Amino acid sequence: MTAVDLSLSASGPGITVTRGVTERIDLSLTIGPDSLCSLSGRWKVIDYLGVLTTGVGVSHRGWSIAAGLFLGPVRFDWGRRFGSDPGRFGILTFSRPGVSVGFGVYWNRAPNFYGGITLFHDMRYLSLFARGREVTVSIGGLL
Amino acid sequence: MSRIFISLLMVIAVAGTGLGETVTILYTNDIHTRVEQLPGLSAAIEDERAAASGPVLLFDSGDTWQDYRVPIYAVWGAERTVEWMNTVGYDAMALGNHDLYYGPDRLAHFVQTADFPVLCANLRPVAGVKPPFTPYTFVQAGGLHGLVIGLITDEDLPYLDYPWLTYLDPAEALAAVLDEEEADKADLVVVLGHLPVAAAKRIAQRVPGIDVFLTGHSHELTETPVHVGKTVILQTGAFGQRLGILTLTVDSSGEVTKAVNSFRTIEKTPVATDRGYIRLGIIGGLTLALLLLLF
Repeated sequence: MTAVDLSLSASGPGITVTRGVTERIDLSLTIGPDSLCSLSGRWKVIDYLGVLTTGVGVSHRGWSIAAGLFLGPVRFDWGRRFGSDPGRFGILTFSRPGVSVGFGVYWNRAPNFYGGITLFHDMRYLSLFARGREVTVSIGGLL
Repeated sequence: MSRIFISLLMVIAVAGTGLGETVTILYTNDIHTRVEQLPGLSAAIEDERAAASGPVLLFDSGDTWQDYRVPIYAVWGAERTVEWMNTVGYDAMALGNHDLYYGPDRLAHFVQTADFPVLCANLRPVAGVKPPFTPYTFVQAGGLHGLVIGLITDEDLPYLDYPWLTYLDPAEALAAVLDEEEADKADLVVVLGHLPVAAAKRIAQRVPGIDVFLTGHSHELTETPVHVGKTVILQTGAFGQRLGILTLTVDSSGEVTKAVNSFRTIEKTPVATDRGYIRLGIIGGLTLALLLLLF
């Protein structure tokens, strides 16, 4: 499946295209104000307990590694970014049919709190999230 | 003489359609891969089959293959539980929210391994996506033609893992199935609902035509069967601690005239879990390593 996400924030517009290349591997390409162009891959490591994924990404500002653990309706994503703008992040996302709510923190020199809500309708979604003082709106879905 | 002949013909006709007979429904819910309960359940199912005077059906109302709250069961018990269900001969099971927690690929693997259909009528896939479950199935119990429909609660669904599924109102999804032409042919309508008894009551009030509503999710024990109109609503508690035994008498017009329910308590049987702990150690170690490395 291919997923597209179009976003808009005060920094500018962005687009992310994610494609599942095998049952266990997704690749994402992002063009946006944060990273100009970045490529990342996510690999499903295990699915015995919940679903544990790990991934790596590269952009002109450095590289990143991340992991995600799905435990039913709760998902925990965490990771680190290395390079010119190093940092860490951790986000908890709770979902119900039609809506998900996430909150967490991005941390480089100081913590930036993250909060967001996504509303789903069939294969489409509308998302609104704040990271520090920057608010981003995005729409997207599966093609 | 002609009256005797006509009576004989009526008896043969009734016997041929299976009407006017007794059907036993054995049922479980929320086993949550409690493998130490499975040998006891096997023995109880075997006993009840041997004791039944008519056909016997065996159903489960979901949350059977997963419980991440007790990780050893999640990592080690699922395959054993599916194999066990094949061995004892389940006729159908409802999809539970926990059964979705392994993600679509592993769920599809379990469904393929199962010799029985996994049912859910109120998760609708988008066009072009084939889900690993089906809304309903038909079962044959002697001469009775039974329609079995699955439903799931909207509580604790892993929605982000299944963006291609849309949740439908259970009563509307159920009514849509019952409106289908094939549903008219059923003598007996059984709903396997992975939802609480209170939700089943509301659904049965909105949708007439359900004979038996076997529920789950809420881990309730219906010591006294709940009746809404002609619908009898039941649940066995959880964790394979009881087997539900419902005996129905169906008259010649296809109406259930008598429903007698009982529960049989199941004792634990010790099982070796050594290999499970090895797998759990690997998974726990990997998760911890990723947490420490990345956070």
